[in-house]
Amino acid sequence: MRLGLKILVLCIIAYSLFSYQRTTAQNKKESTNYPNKDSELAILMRDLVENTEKVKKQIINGEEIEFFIEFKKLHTAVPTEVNLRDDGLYTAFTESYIYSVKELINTKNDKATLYNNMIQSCINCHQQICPGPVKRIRKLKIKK
Amino acid sequence: MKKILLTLFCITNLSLFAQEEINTKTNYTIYGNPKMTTEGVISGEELIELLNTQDSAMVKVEGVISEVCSKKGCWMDVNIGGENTLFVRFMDYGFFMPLDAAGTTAIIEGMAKIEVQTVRWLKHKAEDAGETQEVIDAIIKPTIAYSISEATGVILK
Repeated sequence: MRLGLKILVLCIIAYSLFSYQRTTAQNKKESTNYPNKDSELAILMRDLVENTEKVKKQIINGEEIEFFIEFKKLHTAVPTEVNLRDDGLYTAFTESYIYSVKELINTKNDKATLYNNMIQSCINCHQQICPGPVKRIRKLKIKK
Repeated sequence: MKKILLTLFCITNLSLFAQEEINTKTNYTIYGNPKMTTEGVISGEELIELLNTQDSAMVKVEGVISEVCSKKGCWMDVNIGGENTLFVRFMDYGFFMPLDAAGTTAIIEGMAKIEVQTVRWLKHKAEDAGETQEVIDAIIKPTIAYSISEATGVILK
């Protein structure tokens, strides 16, 4: 192949690749389902939902339940609203929730009932403090 | 040979150019359902007409966002024509809107209904919107609103 022809072929390949990259870049638009800066507590709550979904399945399947969340972080994680803990309500609900988790972990009997009690304690708190996720939390209950 | 290569070059780049035009026209951001498309979108007025004749309707409706939850982006109000507002929350708290999305045109996918908004919720919403305590205390009655309380997807244009 003559030199001129080789250069022409290389130009075609390079230009086509460049055009393709440009097209791809334009088509791709960054998308995340959580586009705002999430607080430490909001992220912890999402992990808690994930963990609770697993525990629900474990109870339904008659398996050992396993919590991987560090519950004490509920007392220290920075919330979206900085004054969340000021009136003591959040702390009281958190203690009630942790108590219900301990009851669930320690029981050998009706785990489903104690699990639903635990979910209800989440609902009680959210109804007072942050009602947005209440519908989502209700779906975590075990239907009997 | 040169002619063939030049023809090939032109065809390749024309097709890429055409593709680029299409991409530019369909450039938007999807939240929630990643397979959501703009097909079958109805206007706010059409939604209101639908809800005049039936209790609920599975729709994709377009409107301009008038307000977004200032804390997390976990709800939004969308203008659907005149003074009518559609209140939107997102399925399973599974996605939120950018805090600065007010003024953006949105397509919302989900079950639309006319719903009662409780006093507790209205007060919470007012708090989220940064209203004064006086305004919050003045909320004493529930309201009726067009709503999609579990939107499965949103496209922001």
